[in-house]
Amino acid sequence: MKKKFLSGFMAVMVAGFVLAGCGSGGNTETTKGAGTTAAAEESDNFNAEGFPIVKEPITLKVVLGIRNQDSLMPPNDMPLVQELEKKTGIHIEWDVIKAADWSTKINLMFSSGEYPDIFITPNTGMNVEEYGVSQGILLPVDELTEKYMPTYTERIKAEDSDPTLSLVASDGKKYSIGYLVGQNINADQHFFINQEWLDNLGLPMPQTFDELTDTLRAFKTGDPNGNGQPDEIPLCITIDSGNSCVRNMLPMFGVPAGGKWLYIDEDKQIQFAPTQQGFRDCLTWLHMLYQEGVLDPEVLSQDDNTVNVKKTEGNIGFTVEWRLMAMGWDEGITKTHTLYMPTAPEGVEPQIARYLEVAGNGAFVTSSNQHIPESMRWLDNLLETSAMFSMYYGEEGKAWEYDAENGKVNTLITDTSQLRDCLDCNALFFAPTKYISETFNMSPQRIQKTEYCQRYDAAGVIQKYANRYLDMAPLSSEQREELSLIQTDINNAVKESIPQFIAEGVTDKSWDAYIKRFDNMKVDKLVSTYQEGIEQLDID
Amino acid sequence: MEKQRKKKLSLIIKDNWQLYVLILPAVIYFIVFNYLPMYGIQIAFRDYKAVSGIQGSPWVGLKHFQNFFDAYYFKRLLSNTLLLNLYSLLCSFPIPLILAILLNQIKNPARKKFIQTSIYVPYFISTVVLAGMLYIFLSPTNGIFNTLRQTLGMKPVDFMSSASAFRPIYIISGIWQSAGWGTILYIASLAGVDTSLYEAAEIDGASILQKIRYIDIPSLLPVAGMVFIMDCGKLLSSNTDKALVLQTPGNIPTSDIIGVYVYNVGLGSGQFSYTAAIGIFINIINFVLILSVNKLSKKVSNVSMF
Amino acid sequence: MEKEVKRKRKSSASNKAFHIFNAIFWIIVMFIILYPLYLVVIASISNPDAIYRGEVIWRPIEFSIRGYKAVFAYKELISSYGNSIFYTVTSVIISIWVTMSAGYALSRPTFPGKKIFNFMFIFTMFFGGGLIPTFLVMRDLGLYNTRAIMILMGCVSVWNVMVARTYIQNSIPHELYEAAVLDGASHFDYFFKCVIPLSKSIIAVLVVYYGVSKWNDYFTGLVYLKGRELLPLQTVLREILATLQLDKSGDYMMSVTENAASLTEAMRTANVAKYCIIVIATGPVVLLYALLQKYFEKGVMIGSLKG
Repeated sequence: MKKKFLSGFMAVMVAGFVLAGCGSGGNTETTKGAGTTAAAEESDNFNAEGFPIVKEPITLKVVLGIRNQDSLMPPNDMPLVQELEKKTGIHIEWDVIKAADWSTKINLMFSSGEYPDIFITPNTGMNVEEYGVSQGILLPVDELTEKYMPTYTERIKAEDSDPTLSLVASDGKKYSIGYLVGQNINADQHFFINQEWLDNLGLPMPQTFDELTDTLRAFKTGDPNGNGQPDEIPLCITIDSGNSCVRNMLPMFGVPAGGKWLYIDEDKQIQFAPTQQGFRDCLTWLHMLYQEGVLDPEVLSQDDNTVNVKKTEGNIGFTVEWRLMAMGWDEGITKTHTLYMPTAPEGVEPQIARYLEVAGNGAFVTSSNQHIPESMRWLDNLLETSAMFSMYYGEEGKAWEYDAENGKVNTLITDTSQLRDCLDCNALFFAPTKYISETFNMSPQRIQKTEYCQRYDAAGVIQKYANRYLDMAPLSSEQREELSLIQTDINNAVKESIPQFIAEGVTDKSWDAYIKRFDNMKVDKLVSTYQEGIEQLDID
Repeated sequence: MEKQRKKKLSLIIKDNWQLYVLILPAVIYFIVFNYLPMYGIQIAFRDYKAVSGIQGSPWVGLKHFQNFFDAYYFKRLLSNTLLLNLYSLLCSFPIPLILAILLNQIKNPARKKFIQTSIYVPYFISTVVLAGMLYIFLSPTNGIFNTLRQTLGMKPVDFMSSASAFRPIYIISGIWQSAGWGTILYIASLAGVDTSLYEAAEIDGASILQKIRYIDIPSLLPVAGMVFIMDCGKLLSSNTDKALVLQTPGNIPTSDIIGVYVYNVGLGSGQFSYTAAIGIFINIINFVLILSVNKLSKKVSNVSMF
Repeated sequence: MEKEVKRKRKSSASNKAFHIFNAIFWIIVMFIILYPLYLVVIASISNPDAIYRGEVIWRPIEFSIRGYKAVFAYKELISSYGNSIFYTVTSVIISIWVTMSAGYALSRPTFPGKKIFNFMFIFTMFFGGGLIPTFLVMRDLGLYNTRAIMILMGCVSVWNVMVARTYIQNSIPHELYEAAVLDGASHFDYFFKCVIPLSKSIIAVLVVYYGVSKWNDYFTGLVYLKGRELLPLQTVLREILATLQLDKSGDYMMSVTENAASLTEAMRTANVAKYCIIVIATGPVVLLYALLQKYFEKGVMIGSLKG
């Protein structure tokens, strides 16, 4: 009896599997093949020129991805958004999603077949290969931008090189409107040294690698902050958190590693950073400093939060960062530090990672959008200069204004930590290099950063080809999936090896064992796939 | 023969229809919330594409399982997860029992009430805050443990980045978090014990320890046994949130558990089917474990789940 | 007589020793439990940098209420509090009813099909379709973005059913049932008139288990709700905690804000707010448990047997 009951039960279960599966599952509104042509029909309601964009008001659904730390008021409460609605005649239903919840919600959206008309995603990810090229949920926008987005197109044409090349997918088409906050920079991270301490100890700016090492040691023993305590932290970094991490120290040893632990060398060859001699040298050096107490003893466990506090206090001798001003360290390292020209050990050239100012994914239109021309014109309007700056900074007159003398934009707002009445840096913002230097009076911190970049460039220490090209390589969805599994294993291996090397040092034996690990992780596959990928790009 | 069996069935229903009515709401719940969606298990055997739906996605059989077994760190993930949970279970299982028994012996009702009300509050400290506090207590520069070490003449240790310290930190903080919570059930069980048993034991001149041994423990045994068996069904699961906040680059060799791996993979790209396959693998192992422990428990004692 | 007196003296001496040990034990345990909780409270009104430096030990350092300000700046805070209370109370009532009924049925030794039901329930603890199929089913049933799903999701837990079952099996003597049957009672009669009144302790436990689980749940609201009016407390509070999540996706691209100082400020605030959240969210639960205290006291059983 019992057995019969059980087997009967199992049979019902299996049947349930099969039957239920036939019913639901998947979406109900697929528009197959909609991804191929952009033959968006213009309805009678649509105004091809002028405002409002529509004769009778329509509603569009927009999903906006924002950063975790942003707190915005509901967009439809924002005065700017309300003005926008009056001007364009288009009402927006906003769905604001934080980066932390982004992938969960997007997956649910795509699985249930209910997507919005427009995605705005400057700060959250979107798998263009998968959802655009393969599945046709996101539409190609090349023809649409030509036809309906004059502001956007003009701005691109005015540049010396096309900043939207980075948006081209593996099928040669672009699927998004670009997001680019031009800052006139070409380097990612810079090194900074505590000038005040140098002065206090009467030391010159170190000109060679060995001088740097000795200077750091002097910081430790010489009591440069003059308080009689040996509490100085000569070198303050983290293992892998934030900008001041071990990876960003590698450029000083000739290894400009990017986030994938790969970089492009001068001969356009992809190199795997973790097994380079420079990597070994860097860790040997860090181990030595760790033993001497010159490297922050908390390096093995501290994260960016902790290091941030230290930078605010300013008790640091040397670090690597994005910039100094307007980072919250005004009483700390912003006051005391100055740019350091990187010096490498004998026989090596320092290679700072190059930063390429190209567009990221700003906005998408989906296959369920019934008002494509209207949407494109609406997006174009967002890029109109005063609308764009208002969405990013806040109200004209309060958060920014036109300079009386040169007519460019000046920012007035300083504190952006409270509840915001604009979209902040989650707004659609497209300001390539030339455009921004013509329209925007760069704030002091940006001018300073540009200066750093120019100095490094003049000294010839920036790598020739930016690692960004790796992201632009036309890989298919299947390739990306395969590589991401390899990447996870590699990241773990490197992440745990670095603290081991720093704490215990590098011996021939441990180094060989370390390298061997990567042989089993299909690193060759990673490198060769990307190599083929970038060869299809024109990166000169 | 047929008639006899049929008669039995209708009699069964007639005699027990009230029980079926009583259990019906729970059955409906599980059908709606668990069995209807169960066709989704297929995701692990397909290359799931959102637009194609589950049925439309291509069937790939055991490919994702194979990928998981081939992952470079597979063995380590497995052993880290299992060991972490096993040690946790063995260390933390007895504590709520001991606490409940000792609490039961407190005579002063006001004190007893106070302790009872506050003992489980650590359960509500979110993992993020717990980790924050641990980082502060264990900091090599100004954490209280290391300051103590220094006054005793020992060198400070960076506990949070030590692979060998990870498990103890995880387990001990886990005990702090949930031991009090675990006492709730046992206190309730002890409250249901017939007081006349205690009176009889008192008359017989039993000491407190004897009362505990002969009354308290046997009355807790069925519930405790059930809790233990249920916990064995989680030996390959992961408290991913907690492991993530406690993981530092230094302790990865022991803190890299399956849940963290799944989280990192999920960040890379969709990888839906892959993570689903891992989930099924975990659940199958858990299921086998709980069935085995249940069987063993049946043989050894009378306590079992089914 | 002498032997008895000796035995009593011996046992009272060992009892005394036991009580002394117990007292010391509990003083230590209470300190270990309460100190970190105290720390949370004082941290919630301290300056975040001081917390990081490990200066906040016995009292608040650099008093500041910025964390509480940040939490209360959310206009949904009050309404989400109300939502959570509503969802929790309604859900717990349903949960108790369904769980005790099922637990009772499963506790009957001669319940035909018991093994199948047991298996059916326990199977769901291990195998399930996952988030997406569940989401699709809920949507097809019209439960998406409703109060109903906030109440019903998770309102029955196999674990709790098993706990109820075990309790009923072991704490309610079978003789009671036999006596009731002799009096002509049906299952319904016995269940409602005898079992429920005698199960006050376990019902109290279930109220706490289900109540806390529902109160702490942030995920259901995140996945199944669209409108912000229906959000429960934890989902709203979680948005504050999301601020602390550092970008771990490999390429740490500097945020392109004009003034990254505000990013640091936001993180500082969140680092304090996480303590404030605990204070705000935990209060009612402690209250609930204090109210239920009396059901955890000894002697609950006496009445029934004598009656």
